[in-house]
Amino acid sequence: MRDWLDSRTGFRALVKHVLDEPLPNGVGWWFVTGSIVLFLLAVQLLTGVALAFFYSPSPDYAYDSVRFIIERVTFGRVLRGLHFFGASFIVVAAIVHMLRVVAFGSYKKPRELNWIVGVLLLLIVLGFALTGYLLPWDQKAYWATTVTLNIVRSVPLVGGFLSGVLKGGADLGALTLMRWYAAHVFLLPACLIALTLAHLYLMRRQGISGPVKAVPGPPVPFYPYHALKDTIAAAAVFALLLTVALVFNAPLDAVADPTDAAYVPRPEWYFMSLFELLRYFPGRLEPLATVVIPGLVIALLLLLPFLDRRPGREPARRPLVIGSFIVVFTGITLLTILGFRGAPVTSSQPQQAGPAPRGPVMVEDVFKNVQALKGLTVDEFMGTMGLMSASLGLCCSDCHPGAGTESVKWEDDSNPRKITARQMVRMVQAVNRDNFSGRQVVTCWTCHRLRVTPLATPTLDQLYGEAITELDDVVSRAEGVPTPTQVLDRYLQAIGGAEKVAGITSIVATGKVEAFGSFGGGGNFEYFAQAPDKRAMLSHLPDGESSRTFDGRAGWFAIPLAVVPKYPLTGGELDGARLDAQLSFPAQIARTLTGLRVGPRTSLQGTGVYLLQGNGARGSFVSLYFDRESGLLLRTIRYTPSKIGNVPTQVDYEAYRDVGGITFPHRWTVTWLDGRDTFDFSDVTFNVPIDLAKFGEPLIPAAR
Amino acid sequence: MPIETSPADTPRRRFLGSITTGILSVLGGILGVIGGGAVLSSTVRRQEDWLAASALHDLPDNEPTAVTLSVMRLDGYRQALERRTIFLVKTGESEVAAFDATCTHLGCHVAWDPEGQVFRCPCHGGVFDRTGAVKDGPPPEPLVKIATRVDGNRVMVQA
Repeated sequence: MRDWLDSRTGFRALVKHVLDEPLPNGVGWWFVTGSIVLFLLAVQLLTGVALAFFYSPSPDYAYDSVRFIIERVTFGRVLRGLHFFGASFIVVAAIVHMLRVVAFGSYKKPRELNWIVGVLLLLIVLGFALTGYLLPWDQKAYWATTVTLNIVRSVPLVGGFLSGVLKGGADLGALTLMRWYAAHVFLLPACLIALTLAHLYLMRRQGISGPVKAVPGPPVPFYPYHALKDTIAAAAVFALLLTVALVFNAPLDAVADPTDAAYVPRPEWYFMSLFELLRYFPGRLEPLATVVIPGLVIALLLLLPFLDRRPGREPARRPLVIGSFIVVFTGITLLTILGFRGAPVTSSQPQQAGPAPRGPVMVEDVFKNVQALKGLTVDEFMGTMGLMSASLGLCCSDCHPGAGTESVKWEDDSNPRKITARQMVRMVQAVNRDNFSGRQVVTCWTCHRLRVTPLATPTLDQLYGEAITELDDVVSRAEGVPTPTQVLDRYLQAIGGAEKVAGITSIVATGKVEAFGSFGGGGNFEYFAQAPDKRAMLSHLPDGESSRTFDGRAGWFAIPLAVVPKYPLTGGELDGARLDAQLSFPAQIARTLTGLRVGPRTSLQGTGVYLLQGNGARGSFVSLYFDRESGLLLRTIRYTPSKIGNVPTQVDYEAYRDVGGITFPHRWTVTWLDGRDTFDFSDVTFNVPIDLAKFGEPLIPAAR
Repeated sequence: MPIETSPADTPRRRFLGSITTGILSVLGGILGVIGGGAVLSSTVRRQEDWLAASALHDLPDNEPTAVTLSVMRLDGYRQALERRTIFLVKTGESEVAAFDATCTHLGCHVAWDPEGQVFRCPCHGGVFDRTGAVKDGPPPEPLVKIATRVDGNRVMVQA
């Protein structure tokens, strides 16, 4: 068979030609760097092909498909890890290879062309890293690409055109993703393979350069002597890469949200130096950082063999070249370090302190037999459960046998309501997807309205009864009402004046709490808020400690006798906690919420109110109800999105009393889907220092 | 140009060559298991729920009735509406048999022939009786039977 193949193809001669390549005597371990790059490229190619079996390049499904790879595909997490971390490994390996070539003077005549091909290959590798970045369609992908497109736009003369070509459409969206995907899996691989073959061909044609000082002795064949060194080095690098892919999860942020103005994009480490460089060339000088300096470095790299034409290869005889590389390399390293240390330049947000939030607690980690609502964090899941039970007017035990007792079995499926609920979740998702482009127009509440079985027939009494005055969730700007600024100015005036209110930087209060409408018993509470965005509400209840904290970056919820006694907040709940903290300071309302509008005149329990509404991050929004007479804030409702609809949290403010010239509400009634707490404030002080630990992760409440 | 090596060098070359090949095989094997495992193994187990298929009193005795089930299923990373046609046969007072309408030969949909009292496949002439057994033609197996149960007046099928 082999003979037949050889007679038809001549493959034996080809293999002999490839493997018996004569290498100069003394070729050592330094010459394995190119093979490592080649091996890593092969790993990227293989893992990339395997990922392409599952990945969907559309904004609707890209993120879900990546999550699917991580969560469902066999070895999917490792596969993505190898591809993700492999990108960093290649960049490192390629740079090391380039530095080796420079140190050994291997770019010199007659290998000038191969050096140029190598530089182009490095640019292709960076192109891969850039285009691959957008594909997961998470927050980091979206916002880093937004920054990239803006950098390209700053290029003089052709920036607008280039940015348009990269975007593919009017905005960063489906066409951009498709374009970058096509580049990542078709265009760049074609260029990479062609240039790699050219690199290898030229290497064979000119022979490898060998040691700087020729070592006397006959040439040795590539195989197996140097091939073994290459293989051992590749195996060592792969062992490291595999370990990293096994130990660490390749990051995946929340799904891309173009409306999230709070997200601070940071590039991957290999682009951090360029990102940092922008800081030193603001305004009209920006093109220096985006085009001129990188362009100059690339041009000098490409021209290196023609600029340094003296025959000697010893580093000591090439101080200018070696010195330049050391300076540039040190500069890039320093900029990268500074980039990681420094505040992001694109953010208008204050730098946030505190530890980075830990990974979210997923619902599958806590509950068994989760089916229709998989892939949610515990707080998202609890929100959806609250929405379902509230919409149908049911409590936990109506579906989960034994709920509220110690012998509850959450995973038990004996109650057919659970089966129906799963089908209903899927049905509602399909209705919204197929008819409303995935917007949550239909939710449980749309039909159920506190009934287990929705009414199918109009009730004539209602039809001819009192008109329904409920406003839409999201209101439009109404005619004949004050502007948002007027409503807010009036409010600030009513509680002590804009200047005095703006001077509040912290609030500390204590008082009595009635938990769950007295079902959870009464106790004391402590309230802490620190501008601009830290807040803690700590209740000491008969069954244990209950707390809701947000430290400016991460938030936690803890409650005694609960299914999950404590969990970190994520997604909508985290956005909600941030909003609560920011809105604790009335002077911040106008700059916290976007798209402020005053809706139609309405009333709260007979009191005429103005409804001011504004948007938070990622689809959350807040309604604020101000008394038309006094201007005081009577109610806030914040709406945070969940998998099956918006989760409302309402706070009613009463008993406004003066505290050092500030009028402060001394009774808050906090209502959410699962309960209602009433806080009676007795001792309120402003602008006192607060121990930052108060806003951090609470201790797990111990049952008393 | 290939270089000549002495015959004495051959065993050493062969030994080192086999080590190289061995290491490369291990690396290829690991990558093959990860990539191949991802691509070749089944990612989603079909999730079967009890679905209401019909009212019991709507079914004639011993006469197969075609019912189309519409159910939301996970299609990889998306939810998709799956439509599946089954036949329900009321075989007793509160006993119902159910068959998938898919011919076991090449996957065409069978139809009930009331005159011949058999299921016929329009593609290659497969014939099944009312119990789903093959009567004629190329189908290698009977029609796939689906688990049923009767809750009051509701016929539930596991599909």
